[in-house]
Amino acid sequence: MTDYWANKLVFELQGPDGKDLWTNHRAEVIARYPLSPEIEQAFLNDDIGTLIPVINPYLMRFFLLMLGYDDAKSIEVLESFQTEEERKRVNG
Amino acid sequence: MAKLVGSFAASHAPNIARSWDSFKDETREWLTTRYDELGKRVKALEPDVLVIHSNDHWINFFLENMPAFLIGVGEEHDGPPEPFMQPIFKGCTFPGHAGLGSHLLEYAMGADFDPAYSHRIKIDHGIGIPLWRMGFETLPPVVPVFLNLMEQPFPTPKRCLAWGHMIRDAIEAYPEDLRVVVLGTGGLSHSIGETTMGWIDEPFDKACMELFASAPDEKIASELSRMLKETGNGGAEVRSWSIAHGAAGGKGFEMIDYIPMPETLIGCGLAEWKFAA
Repeated sequence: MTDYWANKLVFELQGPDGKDLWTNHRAEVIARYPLSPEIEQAFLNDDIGTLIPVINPYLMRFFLLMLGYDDAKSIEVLESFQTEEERKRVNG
Repeated sequence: MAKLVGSFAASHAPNIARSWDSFKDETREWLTTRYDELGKRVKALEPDVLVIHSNDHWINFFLENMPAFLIGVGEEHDGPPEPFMQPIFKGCTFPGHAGLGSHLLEYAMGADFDPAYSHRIKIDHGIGIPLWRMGFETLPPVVPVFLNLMEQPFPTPKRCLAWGHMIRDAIEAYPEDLRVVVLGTGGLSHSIGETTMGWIDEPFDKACMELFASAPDEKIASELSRMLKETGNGGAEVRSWSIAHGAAGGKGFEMIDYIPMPETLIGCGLAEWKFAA
């Protein structure tokens, strides 16, 4: 289920000062958006597992890059939340 | 009258720009030679205008407003805002063709399609990367057409094939003598920002190539609709190939080349539809 405000937050971090805002003023950024307490906590704690179902994957890709994850690290983090069915599909 | 003189498709993975300097030599070599070949074929057709179909990547669209199709009707388009595109296109604008863009819009409306339109659109890596790698000395005017392939629901493969047929009819109904090339960018398979990220679904890619090579529209539409449920999210971009296929009248498909390319996270493919103009 798409969470409009959670996606809006990530979408608006795409600007040139996004990384600095997230690194140094995270709580203030989060406070600008009417997020549910659960999503707020997930952003504060880099709880990717809670964010995956509500953040558009292409914005998630950007978000992980912004956190400083390269491709290998992003894949490792996301893969850790794979279901058995997804694992089977990927591995044939 | 305008004439469609060529139809092509090519991948547009952002890593082609983002990671170019850190690729293995053989990856850079593969990309250079294949996109050069694509560029050579397109330039040989001496196009006056390129009509390029790609999907937006959260650059022009957001959840406030998600058009299925959007035509850029401006005289000029803004360059890509993505940081990894700045070394290539910093501060650039792209020439548009307002006359043909507006005509495509009006023709589409008259043909019962309902695209959005923009007088000032941002070109993103989806269009920028193939143009960069094809290496135009002077870039012809571009009419960009963006699809929503980011947030479901997407236009169906059937609708995209129909859009491709309509685009050809529209081009050939334009009164000015123009040589027009259609390009669809994106794909082939990839998985981005989801739990299967990095997955390149080679059987999906090969099945797509077989469909474009020999299947009628109805079968392409039904098979793609089925296959897209089982592959990574980036596979959705094969819709741009469907548009190029429809524009070509569903004939003449020829792969320029294909390779599963983990460094770019995609099944990387380039294709031409050869037909008598």
